[in-house]
Amino acid sequence: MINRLSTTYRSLVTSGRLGWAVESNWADPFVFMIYQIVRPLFGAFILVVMFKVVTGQPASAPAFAQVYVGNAMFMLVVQVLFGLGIVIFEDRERFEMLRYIYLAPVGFGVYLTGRGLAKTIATTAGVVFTILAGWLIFGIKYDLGFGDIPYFTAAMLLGIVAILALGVALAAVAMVTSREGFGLSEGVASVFYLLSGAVFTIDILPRWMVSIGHVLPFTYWLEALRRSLLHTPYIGSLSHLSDAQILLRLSWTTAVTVIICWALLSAAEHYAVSSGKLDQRTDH
Amino acid sequence: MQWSIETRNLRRTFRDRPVRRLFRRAVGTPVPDKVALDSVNVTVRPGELFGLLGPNGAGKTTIIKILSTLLLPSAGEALVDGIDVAKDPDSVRRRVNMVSGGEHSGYGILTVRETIWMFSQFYGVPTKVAKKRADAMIERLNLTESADTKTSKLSTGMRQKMNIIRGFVTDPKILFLDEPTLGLDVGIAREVRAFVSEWISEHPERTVLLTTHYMAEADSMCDRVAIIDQGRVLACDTPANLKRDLAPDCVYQIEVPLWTETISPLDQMPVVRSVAMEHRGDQGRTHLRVILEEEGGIASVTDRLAKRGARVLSMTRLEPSLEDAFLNLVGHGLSSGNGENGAR
Ligand SMILES: Nc1ncnc2c1ncn2[C@@H]1O[C@H](COP(=O)(O)OP(=O)(O)OP(=O)(O)O)[C@@H](O)[C@H]1O
Ligand SMILES: [Mg+2]
Repeated sequence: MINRLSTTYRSLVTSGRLGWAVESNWADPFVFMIYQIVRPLFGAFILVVMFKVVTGQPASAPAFAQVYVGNAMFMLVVQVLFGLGIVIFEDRERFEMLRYIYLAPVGFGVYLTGRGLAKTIATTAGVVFTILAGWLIFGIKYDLGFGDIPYFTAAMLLGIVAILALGVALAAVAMVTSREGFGLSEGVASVFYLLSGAVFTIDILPRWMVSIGHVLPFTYWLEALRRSLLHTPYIGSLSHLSDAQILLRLSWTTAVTVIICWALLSAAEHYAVSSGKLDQRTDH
Repeated sequence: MQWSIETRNLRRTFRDRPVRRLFRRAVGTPVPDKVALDSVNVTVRPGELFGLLGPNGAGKTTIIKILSTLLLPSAGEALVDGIDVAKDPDSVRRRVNMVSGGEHSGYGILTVRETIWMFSQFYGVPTKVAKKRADAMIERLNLTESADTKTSKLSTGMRQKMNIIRGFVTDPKILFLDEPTLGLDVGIAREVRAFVSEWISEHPERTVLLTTHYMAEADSMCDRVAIIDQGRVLACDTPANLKRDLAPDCVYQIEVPLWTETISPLDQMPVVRSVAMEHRGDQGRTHLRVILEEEGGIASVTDRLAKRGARVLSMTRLEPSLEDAFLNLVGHGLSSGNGENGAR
């Protein structure tokens, strides 16, 4: 048992390192860092312009801070989901290693989680810079006291668990359904972008969409992060919930997400070996 | 005795893509499932180097995929080290590893050493043991100079050597090698074969299942060979016994000027059991490998050739080979050559 756990842990770290190697596979580490910073910053500038055009308000409006934070944090969802979709595609088509990974005793889920973790860490750098730029360039006033740090950290970790679970499951499903893999992850990420209120509050959406938003962990995750960074609730239909209640909802929606994703992963794996789709290539 | 590998009426079929299947059914031309394996029964003892020999599409890779848990059987059972691959794939995975040839696998960004180390981690090999084993194998396969080279910069041969080490470094109880020397040049193919043979003689309790369509490879390496074609096992024995029992006594190689006809005029003769033809375009000649029912038949064969205007340039009586056994059994030769990458 201990042995199994240690193998799992080492495998997780090893696949994380592989992910990092792929991630940072730039001729020049300096260029890599710049890219990690410049890309999200560029996105932030576009957001500022869009906000001004759509709402007619300046970047100093309180709503802008909420939009900015949600958008910055949601980068993690997009990047990890997209990144894991690419992992399947590349491991199968470019590196031709998918089958060897698959038959290793470590378990496919552990491997994908490790790769997802690497992507999470790489993206976190960009998120941190974007958040800092919000303060330094766009004058957003964060209000994260020492007392908020445990709450912020707990929310962040739960969110990452949900993101990784979803990323792993979608990658596994993409492995047996579509050829390119990242299409599905990308699609789901965009739908969640809308339904969890990454930019505009979900209250403006049709009722049924709001209901979906209310069972997504990312809705509570973003709300929790916004509350700890800005100290004002964002989504109106959640404003009656206390900070603790938000965290509680984040916990159980994350737990449910993990269970569903685990089931999806198992089903996808089973389908892969029964249909023979595991290492099908695009040219087939 | 506990078999190392055992299949019982193993069957695997493949379906067409759902959309196409629906379409074909709708227009009234339903396609039957493609049968890749049709009731395969094979048993391999612990410590054996067992060969699966068969032409393209015979089902070799399908067997390996099922035994290594990459594919589920459609019917029948497959046991690896006594464990059912369909029921407990996790336990099987901890005992096996697999290497296939003729591909370009490898994380281009990792070096040879990093790749090998990574997989040893996935199998829970202790770091020190893994390093020591990897170094020894790298040296054995003359890969030391390339050990810190990125995989993307490796030649095909080097890459396959790395791939081989990736399979062996986890010290599997049972190892599957799917055409491990496919596409390698003579020298490297020989190194790889020597490596496998040495490993198994140093680890007498380990089992290797190897597929190949190189006759001489099967002949020289394997303790026992199963000849398979179109998803069926046609024979299974030691190479020596296969040659003795299946290879006929009367095998002739006849050289004629380039023969543009089909082989049917010869094939239809009662004294001829089978004929294989190989054109040597560059020399303007054709080699006919003729298996006779009886010794005396050779005269009528040369007669027939003469009547067809084919002058016999040379004629040699051959020692029966595994290929003759195969030809005799399967009724046709292997589509690609045999032993041409230096197995002899
Ligand atoms: N995923 C698949 N879908 C449909 N048919 C398949 C699939 N995999 C294999 N087959 C078919 O099953 C048969 C056996 O294939 P297999 O790859 O096992 O042959 P093989 O003996 O390994 O041949 P080769 O020497 O070409 O590698 C072939 O006719 C092949 O077309
Ligand atoms: Mg094959």
